[in-house]
Amino acid sequence: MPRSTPQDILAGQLDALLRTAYRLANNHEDAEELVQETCFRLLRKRQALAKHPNPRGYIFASLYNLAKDRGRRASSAPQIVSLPNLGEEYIPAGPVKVDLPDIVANSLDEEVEAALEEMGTEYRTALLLREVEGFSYAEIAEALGIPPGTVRSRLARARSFAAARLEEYARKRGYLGESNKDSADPPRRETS
Amino acid sequence: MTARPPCPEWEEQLSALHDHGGKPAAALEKHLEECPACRQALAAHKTLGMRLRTLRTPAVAESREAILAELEKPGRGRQRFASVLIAAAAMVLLAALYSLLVNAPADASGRDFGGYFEIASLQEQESFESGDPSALEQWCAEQLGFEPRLPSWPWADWKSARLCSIDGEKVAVFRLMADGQYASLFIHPPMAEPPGMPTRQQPYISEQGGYAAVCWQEDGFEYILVSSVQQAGLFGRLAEI
Ligand SMILES: [Zn+2]
Repeated sequence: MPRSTPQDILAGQLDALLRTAYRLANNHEDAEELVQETCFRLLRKRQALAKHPNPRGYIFASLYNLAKDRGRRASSAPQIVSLPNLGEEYIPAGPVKVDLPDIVANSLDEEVEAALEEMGTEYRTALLLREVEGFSYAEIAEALGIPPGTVRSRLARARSFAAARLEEYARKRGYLGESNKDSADPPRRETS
Repeated sequence: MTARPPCPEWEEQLSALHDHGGKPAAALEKHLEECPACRQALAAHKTLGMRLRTLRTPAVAESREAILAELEKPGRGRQRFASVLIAAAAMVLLAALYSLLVNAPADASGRDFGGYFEIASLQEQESFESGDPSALEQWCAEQLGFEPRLPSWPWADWKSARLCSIDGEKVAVFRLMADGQYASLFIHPPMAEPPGMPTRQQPYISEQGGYAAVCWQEDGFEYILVSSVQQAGLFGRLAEI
C-alpha cells in the first residue's frame, strides 16, 4: 500500500483542524486563516510530518502553538467575553430538582460554548481533541506539548469546570429552582 | 438531589474511566456505589461529550475547499519560507551590525516584506569562528548533518558560522566581510520539494530596515545573502559571477 503523502495526511485532518481552530479563534475568518497558516508551516516541514510517529498530534501541535502565539500577540487588546443574556424568556415553573446529566443535556448551546471559552485555551483544546476529535491521550500530549499525566488531569478539570458552569447557568436561567447551589471556580492552573 | 462536582480525590479517575471505558478499578467501583455525586459526574461526562460533538461550527466544508485550493498553488509555501528567511537574515545582520548578536529583537521583523511572518522563533544557537571556509563547512556538516558549500568568492573574508533555527528549520548562517562591511550568508538545506525560488533575483531592498537581500539556488541549496544597503557593490559582484 502506498504511504500517504504529507498533503494527504493534512487534507485528511482539515475538517478537524477547522473545527478546533474555530473554537480557538472564536470566529470563522480567523479560524480559516489559522488553519491555512498551519498547513503552510507543516508543508515546509513535510519530511518531519511524513516521518512523525504521531502525525495527528504533530499537526495539532502546530495549530495550537500558532493559536497561542496569535492569542499572545492579540492580548494587548482585551478580549471581551460576554455571556449570553440568560433567563429573559424563561418563565419559572416552580422549584425543581435536577440531576447533573440532565442539566448538561438541557443547557443551551450558547452556554456550552461559554463554558468552553471560559475554561481557557489549554483546557478547551484538550477537551475538544478528546471528545470531538477522538484523540488518544498520547496525541493530546503531543499536540499540547505536555506529559500524558497532565492530559489526564487537564481533562478531568475541564470536565468538572464545564459541568459546574453549566449548572450555574442553569440556575441563573431558573431551570433548577432553589436546590443546586455550588458555583464553579475556573480550573486551577498547573504550576510548571 | 443536588448536582455537585465529583469528589476531588476521584475526579481524575472518573474522567479517565469515561475516556477509556472498561471496568472501574475496585476502589473506584466501591466509591461509585456509595457516592451519588460521582455517579452523576460520570454520567454528566458522557452527556457533555455528546453536547460538544453536536455543537455547530460554521461552514467547515467551504473553508476546506478554499484551503485545499490555496495549498495546491505551486510554490506557495516555499515562497513564504524564502521571505521568512530573508526577513530573518536581515534581522541577524542588523543585530550583528549593532553588536546585538544574541536574541535579536523579534520585532525588526519582515513587515516591509508586505506579509505576515513568523520569526519569533529565530534563535541563535551555537557558533564557530574561523577564517577558513573549509573549516566552517566542516563544522556545519557536523552540526547540521549536511555540508553547505560556501561560494568561492575571492573578495569574501569569512568570519564565522552559526546555526539558526527559524520556525523550526535549521539554517546555517555565515558571516563574512567584504569591502570592510559585514554581510550574512544564509544557507538552507536542500528540501524535497521542487525548487520554488527564482535564481539570482534582483536584490530585495528593504524600505525601512536598511538592508538588501538576494536569493539564489545552487547545488540544491538555497542561498540568501543579506547586507546593508550601502554595499550595493557586493551585489554587483554577485551579478558578475
Ligand atoms: Zn464521590
